[in-house]
Amino acid sequence: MSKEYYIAKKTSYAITSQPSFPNLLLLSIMSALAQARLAEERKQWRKDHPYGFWARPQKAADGTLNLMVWEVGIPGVAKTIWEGGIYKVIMTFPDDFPAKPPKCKFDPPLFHPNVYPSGTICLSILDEEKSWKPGITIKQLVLGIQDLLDHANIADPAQVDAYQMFRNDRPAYERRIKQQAQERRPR
Amino acid sequence: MLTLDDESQPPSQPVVFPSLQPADLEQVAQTILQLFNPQTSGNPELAKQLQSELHRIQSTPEAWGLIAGLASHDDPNVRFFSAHTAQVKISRDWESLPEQLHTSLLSLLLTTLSNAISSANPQSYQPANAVVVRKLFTCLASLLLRLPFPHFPRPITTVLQTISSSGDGSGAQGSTDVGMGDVGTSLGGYLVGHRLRLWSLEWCAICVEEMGRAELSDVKRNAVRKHIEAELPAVMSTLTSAMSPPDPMEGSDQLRAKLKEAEAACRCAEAWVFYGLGADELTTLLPHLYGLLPMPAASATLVEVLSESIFKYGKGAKVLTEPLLAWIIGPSGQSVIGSADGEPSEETLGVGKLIAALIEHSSDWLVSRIEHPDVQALLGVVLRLTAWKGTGNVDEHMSELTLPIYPLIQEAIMDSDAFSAPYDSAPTWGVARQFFRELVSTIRTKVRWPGMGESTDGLGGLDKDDREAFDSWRRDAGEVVICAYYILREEMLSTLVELARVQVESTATWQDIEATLHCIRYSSEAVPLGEARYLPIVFSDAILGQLANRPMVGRGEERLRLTVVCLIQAYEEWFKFHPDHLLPILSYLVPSLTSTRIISRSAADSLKTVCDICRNKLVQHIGAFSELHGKLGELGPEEQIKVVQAITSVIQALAPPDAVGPVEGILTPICDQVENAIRASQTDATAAQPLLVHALHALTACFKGLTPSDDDIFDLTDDDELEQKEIAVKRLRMDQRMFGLRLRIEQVVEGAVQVWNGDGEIADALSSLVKHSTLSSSETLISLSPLPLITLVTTACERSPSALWISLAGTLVMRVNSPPSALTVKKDKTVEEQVLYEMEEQERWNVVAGAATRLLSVASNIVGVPGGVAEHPDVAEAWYNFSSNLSSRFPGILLRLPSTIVETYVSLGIMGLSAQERFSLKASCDFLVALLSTTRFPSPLEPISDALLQHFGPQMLRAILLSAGAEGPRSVIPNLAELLATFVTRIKGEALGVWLDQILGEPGFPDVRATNEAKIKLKQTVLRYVFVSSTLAFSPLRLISLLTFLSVLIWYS
Repeated sequence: MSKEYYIAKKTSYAITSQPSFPNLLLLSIMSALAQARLAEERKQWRKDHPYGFWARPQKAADGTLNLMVWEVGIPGVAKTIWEGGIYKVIMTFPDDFPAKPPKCKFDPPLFHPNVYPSGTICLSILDEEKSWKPGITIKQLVLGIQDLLDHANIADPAQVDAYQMFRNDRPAYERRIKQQAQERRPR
Repeated sequence: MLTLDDESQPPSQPVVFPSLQPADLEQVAQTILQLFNPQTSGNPELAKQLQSELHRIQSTPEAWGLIAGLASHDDPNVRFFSAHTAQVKISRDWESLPEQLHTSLLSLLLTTLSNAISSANPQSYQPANAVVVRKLFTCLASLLLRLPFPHFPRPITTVLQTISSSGDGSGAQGSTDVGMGDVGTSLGGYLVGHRLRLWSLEWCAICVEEMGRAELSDVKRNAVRKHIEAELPAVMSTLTSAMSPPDPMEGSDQLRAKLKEAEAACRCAEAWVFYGLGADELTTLLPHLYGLLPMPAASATLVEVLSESIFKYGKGAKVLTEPLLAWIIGPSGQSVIGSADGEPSEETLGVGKLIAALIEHSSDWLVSRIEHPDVQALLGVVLRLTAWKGTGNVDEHMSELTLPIYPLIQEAIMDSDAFSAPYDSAPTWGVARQFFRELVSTIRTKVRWPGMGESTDGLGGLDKDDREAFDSWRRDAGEVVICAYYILREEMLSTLVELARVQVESTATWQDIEATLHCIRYSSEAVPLGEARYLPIVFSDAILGQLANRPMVGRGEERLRLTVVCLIQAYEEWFKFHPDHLLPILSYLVPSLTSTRIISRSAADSLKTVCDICRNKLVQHIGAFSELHGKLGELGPEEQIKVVQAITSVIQALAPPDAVGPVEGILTPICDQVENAIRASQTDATAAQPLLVHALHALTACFKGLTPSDDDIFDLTDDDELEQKEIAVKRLRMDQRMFGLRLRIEQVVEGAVQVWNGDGEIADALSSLVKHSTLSSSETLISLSPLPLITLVTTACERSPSALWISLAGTLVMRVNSPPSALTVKKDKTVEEQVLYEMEEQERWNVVAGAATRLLSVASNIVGVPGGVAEHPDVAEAWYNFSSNLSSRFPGILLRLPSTIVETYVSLGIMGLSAQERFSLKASCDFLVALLSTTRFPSPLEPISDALLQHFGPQMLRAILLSAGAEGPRSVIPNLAELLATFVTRIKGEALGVWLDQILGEPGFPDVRATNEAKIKLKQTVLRYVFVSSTLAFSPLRLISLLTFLSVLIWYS
């Protein structure tokens, strides 16, 4: 079953893809680099990952692995208003990873000043024009995202509602975040 | 404090280290001793002061003299400071050391080392001396990286020889002199040798760790690697000679010493493996490591070889996989694992990690030989580790090591050629299925909560931390169940469902049932939505129906109910395709709403989702929802809101005439609640806040529920049916009851806005309400007109300026007359209809123009003041989004406002181009692009906008070029390029050329790096673009990308 799946995918790519041969070659080299790096990231994660976190690549319906999309669980730091919740993030890696960073999206979207209404996270280490470096590991990313939870960057808001509440009514913001932590508590 | 003997040595004399006066040295020594005095630790102020004094001393050039000066001091703390000073000076003040002294420093450190470890030196037996020696090793490793290679040839061997020679001839005497116990001369000699071997291993380890840790360039790193290549045999010899397996016949002291050496050798080898040993070295090392198994340090080193060495990712099967496999399944490995119960020893845990690493390394190899008995034996060992007796993560920490292994085996199976044979008949698949069958059975046993039925100590007597730890184990085990499904498919579901059925029927303990349902719950991620054979049994009377009848007594039954609710949640989407099972799950969920907090919350979430996605199927049970509505008061506040949304989503699916009554029935009491809360707020706003927030959320939930789901729109294959429904809704909106209800909702929203006192939660609730009350893509019975709301938020914004109100105004502007009113779409209007239509238009005009004028006044005071854009990025972004929406949706209203107002809009827009915050900058670009695009020919607004452009053109062009060429964030370049492209096509070529000359002619504009050639090139490109776009159908996208490219590169070409 998995064989057929792969063959079908490869065939359709060959027929539909428009780029010229050298571009295609470049794309496949980049993609192979991304895959190799992600395989290594997965290994390192298994070897050592921060307590309470989980991260795993998605699988297709037939059980084949898709290393380019990961599901990650980020726990709120203890003794903060985020404690108790595990916040799921979908990391989508581009073909030219690690030259470019993954797109990270809370699923479902999160009430937080630096998270877009769509759930996309606005964080300097996830921005290729800011602090992204190819050497940044998935472990560092998830720790960075965890840190962002309780250290919102109000200079770079991504959603108005959370930003407004954070800025104008901190007690209300904290109540809302605690309620969200309750809702995201694993069951 | 420090003075040199002779500060001005004549140049002809040889350069030497600073020589310090004995009194100075003694003073430094006293400072160190005082710092390490136990009494000082009680006085942090003094300790800090002493520390700072020592730092100051270390930073002086004379401190180079401390290395030799203090190296022989009696106190190890002082000697440590000497060595530490050497390290600090090498890493921070290397340049201050004359080149002539570089090799002298090496000699000095080697001599100091030799003395520090000499068995003839009594100081070398001081317990704290080890720290001094380690620090000296670190210094020598730093020198290895600092000195030119010819100055420190064969660095590893040189230090090894220094260590070795420091024990020559005097070992036995040293040992007896310093009191090494009553050991004979021969054993004493052995122990001295042992001590030196330990130092050698320590040196090799510190040396390689420092090389790995140093932040070197690739060139330097490779050069260092090459430099030490010739020394690898010495390192290997040091390692392997210390790795001889201990002989039980030897005396206990010797045995202990040998074990210690072997452990040190393993740790050292681990560091070298991480640094990168070649295949030959690894092949030499591996047999020695196998000989030491199950020593934990040997296992750890082998894990490193499997996962980080040149043999990683499945290489070296002959020298690595095969011998390890043989050891694990052989008597030695089996004796370590024993009966797989009790708290595993360090050795056993080490072997567990080794097995996990081996499978990770060799999964492809193993899977391709899955029919081989040895491989099956290994897989059997893994299963035994997973099945380790005790509660996972609580009583034992062995099983958790194995959980990540199974997805790897499953993936290797999917990728292996050995599994391309038919699934049903191939022997390989047979073995794999049997293995995963046993795995699922093991997992089911292990996820079971401890205990036998309900007991007084709750969930198996586990405290909160243990419960969380076990829950975490169960979640990880859930991932294993998913991967098992990919191998076993229907067979797994069939087994689990049948087991659950039997367990429920035979009134098994809650623990047994819960464990089986936990596995079925986690399978959901892999089970296809079309599954119609086994899941129907789960959600039938045979299982769910029986479970619903279990009395809710005790924490165990609560836990079981929570798992069932989570199971329903896990298969929510499945019910959409299997609506026959909706009623049983509703019958289960509704009583769960009044259960404990954690269950009721999950039940409410699940009910909300199921009602949303299955609304069309649930209309036939509307009576049950009416009953549920009657019980709302019994639920918690959060559950009430979710249930309101659940009920309204089913109401939405009713035929519109049938929905009028229920809509009124559910909304009227909520409006009452909001009114009551508003009244309470007028007397005590703080006390009434939770009531008001809750009531507003409940009202929002009604709007959310009554919004048609996108899925349903796609599901309605008959377009006529959809159209008929829309027409019916439009007609029923005029029904007196619905009209009155909407009026009342508007009033309560207005009331809430009026009592708002800046509270963030109320603002958030209002924002959500306003958005959802106008959101629907097609009108609902109660969706509100955005016009009164625009006036409302404008008033609120004037009273209490905030990005929230401006943002809402921006959202509402886009929803004005969208979808278009009946009179707007009607073509041949009667005279009466035309009059009504014009009244409608006039009302829209008045409201939008009023809001545009009033909000401008607010924004000017916040964004329009110097520094306003930077200080209020939230207001700036909201404002430019509002401006953008206004100019794209109602450019005619905007441009026909009084000219001073229009000019202020444009001025603020240009100010936005100076924003550093990219959202504000992007939004201001969007505004100006929209303004320029919607007012160009054939728009009748072109003359007005042309006049504006003549006035503001140079300013706008300058702001665009400045932001794109120098000040703006790079990520907004495409937006600026799009604005530039839109802008230049609105300007006559001659004027544009003059403006460009003036702006680009400014010295240092936009950046000092911009060359004249680059500016000329930019001007040519822009003018060419204007020419080409006016004469040819030239793709704007192509030009945008061209401009993007140019604006990034041109300035710096």
